[in-house]
Amino acid sequence: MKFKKLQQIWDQQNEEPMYTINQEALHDIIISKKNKGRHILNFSEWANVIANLTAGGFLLYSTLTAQQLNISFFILGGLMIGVGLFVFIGRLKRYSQPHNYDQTIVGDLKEALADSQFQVYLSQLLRWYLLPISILVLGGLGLDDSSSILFLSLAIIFFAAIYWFSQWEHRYYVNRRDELKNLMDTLKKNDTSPQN
Amino acid sequence: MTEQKQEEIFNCWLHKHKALLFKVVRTYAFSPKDHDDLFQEIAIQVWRSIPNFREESAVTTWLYRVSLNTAIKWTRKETKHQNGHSSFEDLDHLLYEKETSNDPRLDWLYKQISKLDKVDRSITLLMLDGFSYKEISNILGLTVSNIGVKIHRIKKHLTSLSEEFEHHEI
Repeated sequence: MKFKKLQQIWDQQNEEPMYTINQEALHDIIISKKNKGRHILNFSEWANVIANLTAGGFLLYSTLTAQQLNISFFILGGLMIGVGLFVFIGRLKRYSQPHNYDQTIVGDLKEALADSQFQVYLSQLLRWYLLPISILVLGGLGLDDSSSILFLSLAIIFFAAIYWFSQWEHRYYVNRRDELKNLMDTLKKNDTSPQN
Repeated sequence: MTEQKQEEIFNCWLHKHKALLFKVVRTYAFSPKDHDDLFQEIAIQVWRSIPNFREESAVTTWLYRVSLNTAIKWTRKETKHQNGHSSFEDLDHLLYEKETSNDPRLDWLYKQISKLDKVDRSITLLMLDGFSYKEISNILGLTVSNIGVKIHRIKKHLTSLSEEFEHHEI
């Protein structure tokens, strides 16, 4: 074989890509992301349901059995139970709907994206929920003559810190969702029709 | 240079010259896991090198310089690292060679190139990709006359091997 021929053999690889994405590995990564997302969502939903119902129930009981009714804490208790039930019913609804995601790369990616989207919605909702909670807690404390300025200040700092952490958490979920969105866009753009 | 600008350039280079990087990867790494590792290593070095690119040479020349240097260093590190231990094959790789194997002769050619020493591998890669002696000398830091001698020897070596290969094929 002349060297010219070797050169031609070498040049032919420029006509088409030598490498491609390993669809099986990509699918595994998507499934693992989906499972991780589902696990986080499960945990945050249950944590919210249990925490809100428990704390709300306790607040309602203690304000109703107290000698003097603390309106702020009474409203807060009701709000917490409401939010706990809202998250719980939302979860039941979501799981009762038949989800028709197929077991392909795109199907699993869609499912992961739906969970991730819901996680973003939930964390956004809970960030707003922090506002009435802090107002009502501060209001409840303010009605109590024994609470000092220092105690109120500490409560304000505490809620500000919680808000800051919730912002950070929310951004984390948004990034996760965007990562999946970008992957979906890439798959659509390349017009891949995964087989597995 | 802003990070955004650096990212734009990086994405553009990666999109345009992916094939070039894969050629280097395929010449210096031989298992799917190593392909992944080396490709990532090269991508990182390319990213870091962007602010130093002065447009005095062509982008392909620059990329070859960065990727070949990285591949040679990586090979040294890997050899030292493995030091007689066989590495476990990972199961999952996002990047893998197409199984269509357009032409067994191309696989054979890569195999023969991989048997050369590190510097000769780089020279062969650049020669096959149409770089001039002067450009190869700039990229690898060897004299033009040295490159000339080596290329002559490599061509002769590959041609004689290809004759054997053809003979067996028939």
